[in-house]
Amino acid sequence: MGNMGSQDAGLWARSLAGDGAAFGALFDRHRDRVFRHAYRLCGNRHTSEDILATAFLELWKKRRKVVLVEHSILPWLLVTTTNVARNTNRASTRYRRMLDSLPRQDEAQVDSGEATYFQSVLDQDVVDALKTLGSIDLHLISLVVFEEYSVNAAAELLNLSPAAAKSRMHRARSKIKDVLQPKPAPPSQFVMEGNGS
Amino acid sequence: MSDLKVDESFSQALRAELVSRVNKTASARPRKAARWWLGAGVFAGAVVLGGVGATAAGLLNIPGAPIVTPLGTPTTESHTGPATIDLGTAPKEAKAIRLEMTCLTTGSWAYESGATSTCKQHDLEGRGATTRFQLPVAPGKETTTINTQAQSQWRLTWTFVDVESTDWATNANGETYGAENENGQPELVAVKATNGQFGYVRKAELDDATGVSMMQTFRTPEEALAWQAERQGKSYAIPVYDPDGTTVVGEFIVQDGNGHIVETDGNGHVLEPDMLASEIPQ
Repeated sequence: MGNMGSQDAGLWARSLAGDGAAFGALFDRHRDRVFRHAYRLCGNRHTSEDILATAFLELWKKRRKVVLVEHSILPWLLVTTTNVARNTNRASTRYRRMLDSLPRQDEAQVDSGEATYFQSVLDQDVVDALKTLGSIDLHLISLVVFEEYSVNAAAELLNLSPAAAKSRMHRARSKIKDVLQPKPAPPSQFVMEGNGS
Repeated sequence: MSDLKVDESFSQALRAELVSRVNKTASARPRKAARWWLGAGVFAGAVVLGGVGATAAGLLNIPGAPIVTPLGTPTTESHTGPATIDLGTAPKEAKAIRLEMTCLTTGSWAYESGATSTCKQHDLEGRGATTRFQLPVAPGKETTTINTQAQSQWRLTWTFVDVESTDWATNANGETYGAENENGQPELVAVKATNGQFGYVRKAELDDATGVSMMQTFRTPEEALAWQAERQGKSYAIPVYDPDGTTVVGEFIVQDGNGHIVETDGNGHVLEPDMLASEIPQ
């Protein structure tokens, strides 16, 4: 990750200087992780596309305020992605017309084919569990657990002391475990129906 | 979840929109005001680099510079617009592929590593028209994609090469000296002095002059821009030594606003500084 990050600085500097190709390269580098993170938070493909687009549009709009962590823009993007996902309607409104103009696979195609396996029952559980976290805890979990940044790097971006970040992490982990664990047995007929015969 | 991919047509359309937004701001206001370098070396002279740079300069005797041996004859293809090039099967002993992209029209080119190059009208006449880079040989990886505008014309020449890395040397004072390579910089870094002599600058002196240590501390464009504004137009001279680290053979000038941005490709290889000079906004 260090390698990747150190390269962002050069591309980011050139993007700020108005080099579209450099910004395009940053998009290529980070779009899949941003998209997966958005999907993790909302569990819906089209909404994830909206969030992905909004995060990158915000990256450019707020470029003067972007903070690099370990010379990478990814942590900032992930935090913005989380914010956008939590607030989908309002944040995406700004770009609604642009988002609607982008080409999409139609829903039927997505539902009938390749995309159906993306959404497992486990994914939905995680989506639900993440919804129980406060914003800062969700940012922390996103950066540290999913994207493997150090607690210190995440703390820096979120303006927390390392100690505060550590204790928040601990609480957030326990909270997620609590939400994920003590479920009554899943309705077995669901599985039966899925199998058909 | 790792199979989850963005819809490609959506992604491409979004990408095009983003690129055009960024380009639009460039024409809307002077580029210079927004320039800042973070984590990128700024040099007026050329640091002698491992990999392609050292080879091209014929500096094989510098410790730490790899010995690059071409295998077979170069292949050349010409293209218009973006293309994925079939590089062919690497000979068994090949460790890397050396590529030279020559632009035949103006435009911007983006490589798989994330590096980009730009050709303006005046580059087409000079050596700014050629971008050299190196890709590692990886099993099953026989293509590389270069993105550019639909109307941009370019020519790619590539050769499989064997690369043998060498170690830095140590002088009587126990200081390492040689070319910058995948291990980083030795204590004495090989450079070309302003008088044309090859020699070595002390890494500590180089870092102070380029502000590398300062740049590590910036977290926002404002900080970097302020630092850059303060240095604008100033130049810093540092001595160039013999390998002994004592005898001065020339000087090396680090000057802001007139430098080269040094980039590495995706594999830690440093791209030649002089090939990137063409993209610096004047």
